[in-house]
Amino acid sequence: MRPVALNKKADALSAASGAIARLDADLVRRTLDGDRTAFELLVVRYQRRLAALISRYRLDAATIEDLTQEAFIKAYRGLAQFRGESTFFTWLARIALNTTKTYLSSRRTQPDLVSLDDHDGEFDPLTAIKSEDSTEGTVASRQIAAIITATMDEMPPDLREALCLREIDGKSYQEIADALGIPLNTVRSRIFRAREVIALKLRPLIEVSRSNRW
Amino acid sequence: MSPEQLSRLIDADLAADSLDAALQTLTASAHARESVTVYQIVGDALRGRAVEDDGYSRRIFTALSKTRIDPA
Repeated sequence: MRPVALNKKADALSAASGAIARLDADLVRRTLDGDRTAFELLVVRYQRRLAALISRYRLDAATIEDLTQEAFIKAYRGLAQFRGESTFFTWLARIALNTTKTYLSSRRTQPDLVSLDDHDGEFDPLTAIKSEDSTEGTVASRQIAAIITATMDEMPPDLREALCLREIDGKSYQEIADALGIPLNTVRSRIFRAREVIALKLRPLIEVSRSNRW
Repeated sequence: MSPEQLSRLIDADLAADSLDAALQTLTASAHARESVTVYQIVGDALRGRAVEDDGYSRRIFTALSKTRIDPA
């Protein structure tokens, strides 16, 4: 039997991930009803996570982008097949990994590409998702990350704490409220204000390429 | 829809009946789309993901605009 504290943590994580799953399922349903913005929001939410997953295959940046785009297109085309039996991202990741595996199979005679030995059998997208992060990124990506880190260091501790609990620890708003002993609306406000402090520094960079964005 | 509600949107903290309004705001407002994009970049960067975007999103959206959902 698991200790009570572990059960509580599992319940809280389940609540947080359950809310995300419900939102994603709502966005899928609205996409199927003809709202393209709903799917675009899913792209914005998951494009970097998906690219990070594909980047584990040590591909170049252009190929990672192509495969990410191809995965989203396949997901969009086959969206009516999404039954909600897994989370949207798990379903999407399975499409991306199959797409990547097909690509690698078509290129496997080229000696400079990653070995397929570890990927020839059945793969588990959930296992892959767990280790998808920590991509190196480009110079531009590292610059943005450095700005965010520096801004986090400078911001009021109560804002930084709330944002870290949300973004790094993945806690729900209610769990953060419970942990910090503050009202739910204060959590909402702190996370929003923390994001805006960082956004103020990032927007000049983003503005340069605004026409390229959503 | 307020910027704080857009922040709550990406954390799935909005009530389900607010989602239509959120999507309408995103469809109508470039500033709202930019805010959601920046908030998402902040989260992705804090989780160690590469966050540069030299038109990557736009190319995906352009490709999507030429794609139809297959019937069930």
